[in-house]
Amino acid sequence: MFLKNILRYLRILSLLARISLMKQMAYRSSFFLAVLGKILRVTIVLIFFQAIFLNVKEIGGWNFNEVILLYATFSLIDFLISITFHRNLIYFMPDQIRKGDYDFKIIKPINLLFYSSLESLDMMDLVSVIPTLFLLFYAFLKVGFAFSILQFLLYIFLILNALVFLYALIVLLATINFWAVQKNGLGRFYESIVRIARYPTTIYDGFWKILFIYILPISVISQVPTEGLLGKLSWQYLGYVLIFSILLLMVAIRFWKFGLKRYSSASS
Amino acid sequence: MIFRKYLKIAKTAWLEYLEYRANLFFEILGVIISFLVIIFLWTKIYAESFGATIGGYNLGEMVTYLIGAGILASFMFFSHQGDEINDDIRLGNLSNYLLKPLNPFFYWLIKDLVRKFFAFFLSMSGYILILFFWRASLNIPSDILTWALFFLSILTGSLLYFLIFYLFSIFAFWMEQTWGFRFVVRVVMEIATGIFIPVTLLPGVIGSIIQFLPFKFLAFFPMQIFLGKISLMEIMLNFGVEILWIGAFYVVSVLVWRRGIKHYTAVGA
Repeated sequence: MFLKNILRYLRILSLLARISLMKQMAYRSSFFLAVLGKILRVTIVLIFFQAIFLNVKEIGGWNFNEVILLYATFSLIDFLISITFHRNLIYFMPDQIRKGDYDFKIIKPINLLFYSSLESLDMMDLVSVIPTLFLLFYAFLKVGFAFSILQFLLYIFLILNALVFLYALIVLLATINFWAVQKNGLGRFYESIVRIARYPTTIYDGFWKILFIYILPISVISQVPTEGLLGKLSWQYLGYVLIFSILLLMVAIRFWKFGLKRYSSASS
Repeated sequence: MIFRKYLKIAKTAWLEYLEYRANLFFEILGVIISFLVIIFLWTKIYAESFGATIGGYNLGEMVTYLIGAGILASFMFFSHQGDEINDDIRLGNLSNYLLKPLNPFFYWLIKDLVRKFFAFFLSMSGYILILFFWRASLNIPSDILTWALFFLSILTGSLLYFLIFYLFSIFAFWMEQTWGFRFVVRVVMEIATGIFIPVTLLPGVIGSIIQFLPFKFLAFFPMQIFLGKISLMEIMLNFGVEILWIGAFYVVSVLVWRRGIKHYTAVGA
């Protein structure tokens, strides 16, 4: 029964992917510009770090190569969320609520959170896998592939953990739309939070350090996987972030269900 | 008479944005977070750098630069204006404007300026907090001329910014979607406006190219005036170059508009 359910959802997923691709291929010129933009962004960030490291050897204990690896990891995670749930939950869902289209989704016989998260899979963004993987390979080369297979597996596992954390966070924010529908402010807010992970949390002191390491551990997104790969992660903190992500996801799903119950249609 | 109708547009736009104030609040909160991160990053860089100044800036000047550029960015760099022009053309709303005795260019421009004005007030509430925390390290000019030139540079910068996005949006006459152009422009702007780092600190060929592009007039140039980093002579020279850019973007967009309006088929109208 359970297996049958999973198969059913996989079938729905492949159907959604096919529909998305058909819709998006209609705008091919914008698509090439989007790829160009992604490549430019990688270049720009490299120049930014180069300019900074002309003046310092390390930033909060991270040297140039490690910072590049951290940024490459960030880009990979940013890529993974952008082809899946990112835009669906924070931009498309409020838009559909505002127009009244969302009500039709609620009555469909599939899990609403699943459908809302993955309805429109961004197939265009798939192409940015090329600059992302190129940057990652460059970063691995920079640190001289100084890691074991086990550390690499831990890295992949921690990237999955980062995705759980980011998903929980976006579900929490998206639920706000059930009470007061927002335009794209929530999306920009979410993106700003995610972007904190471009830099190591060691740049903060005092209150901010505690905030970004324990209270809202942004470090989970890119720093923890990078430290795991380089063998710099402590077991205690690893345990802390794993438990934190799972708990946050449970809270987020609870909150979603609570919000959905309170939801009264936005349009007539 | 002419002013009255545009005043009315300004008032309507104001009320429209007021309706989405919670949304704007989140958006501005996001911008503030981004700049807090950058200020912390630079503070750490100064703590660990080889010398006391970087590229001729001491820590106080750099913090002032980043906060100032951050404030400019938070109320200037809104992207929806382009989306609106794109959609007005694509969905055929433009037909309504063409039938009325108003100029669509000024209609969009006024809406954009009102939005900036609105966002400025909202973002100030957040920035007062930041200014308060860093008040000890701020470098604030005392003479009126500097302030006057600074405000003038913001005004010309806003106009230039609008024209850049206007031009890339009216390509919607030929294309269904123009967000691709605007995305590329925004990516370049992230660094070329100088909101994260003064553009003179960027190394290599790309650094030189960026200093040649018009984007530096949006944040880097106003902050140069504010910090007294350039002489009156250089300020005037820069204003001259900026006005040439504004003129160029205006002329090109008029030409594109003329060709586009002939091409316009009013889909859905």
